[in-house]
Amino acid sequence: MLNIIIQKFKEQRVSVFIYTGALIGYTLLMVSMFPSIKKMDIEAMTKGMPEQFVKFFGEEGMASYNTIEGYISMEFLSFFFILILTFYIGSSAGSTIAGQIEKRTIDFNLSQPVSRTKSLLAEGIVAIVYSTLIIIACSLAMFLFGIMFDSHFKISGLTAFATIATLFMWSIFGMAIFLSSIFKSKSAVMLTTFGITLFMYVFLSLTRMVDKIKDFDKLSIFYLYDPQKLLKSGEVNLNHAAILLAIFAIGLIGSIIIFNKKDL
Amino acid sequence: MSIIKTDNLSKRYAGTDFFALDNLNLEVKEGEIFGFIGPNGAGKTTAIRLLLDLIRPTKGSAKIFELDINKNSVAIKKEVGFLPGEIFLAENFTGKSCIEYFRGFKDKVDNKYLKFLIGSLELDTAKKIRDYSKGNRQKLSIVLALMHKPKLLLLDEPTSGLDPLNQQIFYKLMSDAKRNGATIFLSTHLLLEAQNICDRVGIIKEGKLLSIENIDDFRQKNIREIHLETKKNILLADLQVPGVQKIEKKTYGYHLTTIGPNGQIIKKLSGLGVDDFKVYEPSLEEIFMHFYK
Repeated sequence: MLNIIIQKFKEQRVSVFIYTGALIGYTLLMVSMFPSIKKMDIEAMTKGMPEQFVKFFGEEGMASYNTIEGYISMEFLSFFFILILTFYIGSSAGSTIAGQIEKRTIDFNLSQPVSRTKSLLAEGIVAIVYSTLIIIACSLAMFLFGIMFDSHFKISGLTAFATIATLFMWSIFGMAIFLSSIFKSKSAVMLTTFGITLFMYVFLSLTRMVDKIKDFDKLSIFYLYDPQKLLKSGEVNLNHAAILLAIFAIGLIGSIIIFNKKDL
Repeated sequence: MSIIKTDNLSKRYAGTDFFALDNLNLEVKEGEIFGFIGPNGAGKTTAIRLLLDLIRPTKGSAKIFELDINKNSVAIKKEVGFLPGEIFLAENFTGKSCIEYFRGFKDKVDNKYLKFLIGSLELDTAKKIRDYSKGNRQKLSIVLALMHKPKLLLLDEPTSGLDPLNQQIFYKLMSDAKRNGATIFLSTHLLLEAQNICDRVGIIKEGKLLSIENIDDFRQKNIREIHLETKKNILLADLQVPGVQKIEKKTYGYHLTTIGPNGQIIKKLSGLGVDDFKVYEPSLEEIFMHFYK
C-alpha cells in the first residue's frame, strides 16, 4: 500500500504544485487589489446593480464587500477557489478507478497482492492530503499577503475557513470517488463532479433569488460552506463539519463496496 | 497437491445471454505446465481473470494453493506471477521505475535474478514505457511476472509480440521456472507452443472444456497440411496412404491434410516426381473440426 501512496505522491506533485502556485498567485492578485477596492463606495455601487443580481451573490456578501473577508469570499473563495480544487479532486478521483479501467492499467495493478480496498484508500489518501495541503498553503498565503497589503485576516478566521474548506473538499472527493466506482471513464467522473458542484452553487444562489424555493437552501452543499462567515467569526459550525464529514464517509464507503463487487 | 482446482467455474457477463466460461472443472498439479488451448473468444482470458479475482464467477468456485480465489486473493497473489498478452502500464513510468514500483508489492525479490532476467531479455530499462515497442512491453511484463520467483505463473498468450529469438528465451525461462518448482498455467492459441513446453493441455471452445490430454497423446494427433508442388499429374489413388484425410488438386500441385506420423506419405512421395513440398500447422479451427466437434 505504501508504494502506491509514494508513487501517487510522485505522479501528482507537479500538477499539485501548479494548482497551488496558480491559486496563491490569484490570492496575491486579489489581496493586492483590496486596498483600492476598500476606498470604493460599495453602498452606492450596490444600489446601482439590479436587485436580482445582488440577491444572486447574497445581500450580506455585497454589504461586506469593503471588508477583506467579504471581498475575498465573493471574488475568490466562494466559487472560483472551490472550482479549481474540484477540478483537481475530480481528476484525482476519476483516475483512481474509472481512469484505470479506461486505460486498462487496473488489471495488472490488481494482479498484485493488494486488496481493492487498500488500493482505493491509498490513492484516496493522496488526493485528501494534497487537497488539504493546497488549502493550508492558500490560507497561509492569505495571511501573509494580508500583512503585506495591510489587510489583516484573523488567524482564528483563517483556521475556521481552512477546516471547513478542507472538509468541504473531502465531501466533494467522497462524491467523486463514488462516481468513479460507477463510471468507466475519467472524464465522465470529472464532468459529473464538476456539474454537480456547479449546480449546487447555482441552486443556492437561486434560493436567495426565488422566494418559492428559499427554504430549500439546505439541500445545497454550499449551504455548509460560507467563507465570509468563517473568516469573520473564526468559529466552526460543528454540525456543518459533521455533515461534510458524513458525506465524505458515505461516498468513500459506498465506493469501496461497489469497487469490491465490480467486475473489472 | 493441486495448485489450481476449479469446480464448475462459470462466468456470464452482464448483458449477455451466454456463458463465456461454462462449468470449468480442472485441476493443475504442482510443478506442471498446463496449456489452456482454444481459439480467440473461447474463454481462456475469462478463466485467468476469474483466477486473479478481477471478475467474479456467476457460479462455481476455484481454489489456488487450496485457498478460495475470492476470499484469499491477496494471499494467493503473493505467490502468483501474471503475464498478460498485452500489458497496460502507466505511460510515464520508465522501465526501471516500473520494476521498482511493482517490486514494492513483493515480499522478496532476488536482485541477482532480476538483473539476470533484464539481461537475458536485453531490456532497456532507462526508456519510458510510452517509448517501448509491443515486444519491449512484453519483455518488461515477463520481468514483472518472474522477478519474485512465484510458485504459480498465470500466462495469457505470453509470446504475442515477442520475436522468435525472444520466444526461445521465454521458453527457456519457463523451463527454468518449472525446474525450480513453479507451476505454470499457460493460455495459448499456438499449438506448437503448447506442444513444446506443456505437460498437459486442456482444450476449450465456446466456454466449455472439451478435453484434457497428456501432451504425448495430443502430439499423436499431429494434424498437418502438406502442399505438394509438381507439374505432373498424379493419380489421387497414389496419394491415398494411411493418415491422409483429404486430398485437393490445386493449380500447381496437390494439398493434403494428414493425421499422425507422416513417414509413409514421405516414402510414397519420393517415387511420384514431386518437385517440392511444404508442411503447415493447421489452424486451431481445423483441429477442432477433426477432433473436438
